[in-house]
Amino acid sequence: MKLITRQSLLFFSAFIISGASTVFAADEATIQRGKQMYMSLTCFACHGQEGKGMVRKRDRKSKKTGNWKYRKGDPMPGFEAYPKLAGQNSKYLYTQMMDIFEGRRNNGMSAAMLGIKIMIDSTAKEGDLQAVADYLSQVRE
Amino acid sequence: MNTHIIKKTQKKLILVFTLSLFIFSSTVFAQTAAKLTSTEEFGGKWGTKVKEAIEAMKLEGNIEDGAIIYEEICQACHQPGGNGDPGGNFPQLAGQHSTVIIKQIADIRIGNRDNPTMYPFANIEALRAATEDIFDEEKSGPQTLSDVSAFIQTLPMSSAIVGEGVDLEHGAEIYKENCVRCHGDHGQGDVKNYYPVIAGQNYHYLLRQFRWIKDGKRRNANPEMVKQISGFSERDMLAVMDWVSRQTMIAGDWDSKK
Repeated sequence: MKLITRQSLLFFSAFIISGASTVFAADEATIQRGKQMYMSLTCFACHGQEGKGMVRKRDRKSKKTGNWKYRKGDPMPGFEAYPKLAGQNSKYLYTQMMDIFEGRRNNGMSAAMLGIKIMIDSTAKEGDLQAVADYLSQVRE
Repeated sequence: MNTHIIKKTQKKLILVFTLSLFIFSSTVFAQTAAKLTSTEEFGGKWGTKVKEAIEAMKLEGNIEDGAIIYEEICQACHQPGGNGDPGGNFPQLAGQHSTVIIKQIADIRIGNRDNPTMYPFANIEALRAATEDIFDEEKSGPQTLSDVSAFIQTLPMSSAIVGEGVDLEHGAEIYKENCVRCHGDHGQGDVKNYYPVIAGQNYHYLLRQFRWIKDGKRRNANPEMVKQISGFSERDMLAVMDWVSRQTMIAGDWDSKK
């Protein structure tokens, strides 16, 4: 009997690939850790809840005209230069974080984030920043 | 023309000129040494001419509203008790004089003090916009600032993060000789002249700010302080900051009367 048939090859590849996908996707524990660290490392203060950006929490009408002054979800004044992170590629998020903290990226508001490096160095443990990136990448609308 | 008279006149002129220069410069230096800059005398590198800051300092701060504003805007980094993070990245704000908070926010906003992380939180328009989301009644930027700093002043300073504790006698001595004039005998500062409370501040934060004031990196430092600490050694600095980080505020420290 032939050992390597087309069928067995297909079966074998499917087996390998299904295993590989668990290597690439972050597990539930990592995502939960990332969600927790996203809050305790103060990221939400500038990048908003769940990385969805700093936005208005309510609708507001102008008392004078009765027209909408702003709607819930509108950008928050003062934070226009801060990026939304939700759904961004995990690898990109992580490399940008490291580039900023290690001084390789210094454009725009990078200095604002570099300013929290002392806290990150003393608070974040091994794997925490990667976990935050993993968590953010799977946040959906 | 008689050259003899010209020479005499020239000599007289030179004498008068150098004498008046001497008198002028000595009076200027005498002035800067004597008086501490007060809130009224805004101006120069130390005082603040920032309109919103001056306005905020005049307004009565609503402490209840301030608590809500604090939770919304400042708590994320400076923590619910206002004690900052253990590493001293975000300073303790708890118990700080309201006028000091207002002045520092103004300095950050106009670029007198380099702190990019704080930019959106020092932006007076952003502060107004944030409170627009919270309160039904519209609140101006200066009122927001006045409210939140009045609240911050009521929080207890923790004295939780201190130095090594090995050179405190030396620290107390150096402090007494150098720092009492502005920061008070136990680091309580001065609300009227907005000299900050340093009693109980995070030791790591104190060290960083002290170094930056000494090196000129903290550009909104009082020039008198820069002069005063220019002779401090590394040992002096560690000892004094350790001593200061262990001090506590007492009742009456926040009163404006002085």
